Amino acid sequence: MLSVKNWLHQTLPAYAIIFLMIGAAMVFNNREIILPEVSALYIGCLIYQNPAWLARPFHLFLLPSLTAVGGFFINRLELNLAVKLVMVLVLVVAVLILFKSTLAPAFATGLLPVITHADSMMFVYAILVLTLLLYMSIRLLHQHLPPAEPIKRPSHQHKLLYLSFASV
Amino acid sequence: MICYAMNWMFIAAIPPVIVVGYESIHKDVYPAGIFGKQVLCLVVGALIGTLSLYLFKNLLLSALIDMVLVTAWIGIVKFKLTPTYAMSLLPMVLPGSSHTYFGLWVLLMCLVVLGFVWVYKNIRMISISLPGRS
Repeated sequence: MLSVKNWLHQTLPAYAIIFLMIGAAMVFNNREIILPEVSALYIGCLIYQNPAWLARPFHLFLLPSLTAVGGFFINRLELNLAVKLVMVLVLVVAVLILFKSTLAPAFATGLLPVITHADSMMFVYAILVLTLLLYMSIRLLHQHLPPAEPIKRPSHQHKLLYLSFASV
Repeated sequence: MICYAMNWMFIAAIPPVIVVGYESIHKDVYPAGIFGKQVLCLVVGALIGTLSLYLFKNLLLSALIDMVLVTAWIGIVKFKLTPTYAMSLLPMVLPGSSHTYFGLWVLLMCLVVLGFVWVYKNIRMISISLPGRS
């Protein structure tokens, strides 16, 4: 019984959202709606229950949306692609330092619009709706959230080093 | 610098690889076994994504195949790496033409980025364990 309940609460919603996302992309005939990293976030949160992510559910909505919108507008600038990618990396690291978070998928949502040349507002709507849904589904399905564990102070040195290497 | 030098290789920054690298650099230890499994997972995820998109033109069907195969693969190697799911969906959104060598690029990027993280982590560990170093 427990496993059926688990399946209904965890596995089904995660896969349902992923297929809805792809279905929406087909209906609107717009592939920018497909956000690969969102599927990873759903599966990581609902099925594997990554405690570090579940501890602060609102960040799951806020940070990927911020970096995605930032990436979207950076992509509109008339710049060399490499310059844009470096700008996105700087932006994401700045956001993560600002919110004292280590939510790595924020990198992917930031980089995605630049790599796929997303240019319709559909991309922005998609990320806002999908991450908001994730936040709400965690609130609904997980009444007993793990306590916000004292977060190990992420060393900025690591971040900056990684940033400099990745931009290389 | 590699990215600047090879500007033509615009596909270089593959998001899931950056994500895994970023996660790994925050871990306390990063042994070679984990490094190998990460590369294996990501590359297989990329191959699954490319093949399923190529064999089934229908996005929904190929996503279904992706999910089933990636879940099975993660079960086989017993390594929960969620970016693998992202990797298998990524070929759908990439601008055309680059699909053929996608798996190869992923392998290359994995080795470069994660290899850097591994070297960095292990050099640090060695220097910490060396006594008498101020």
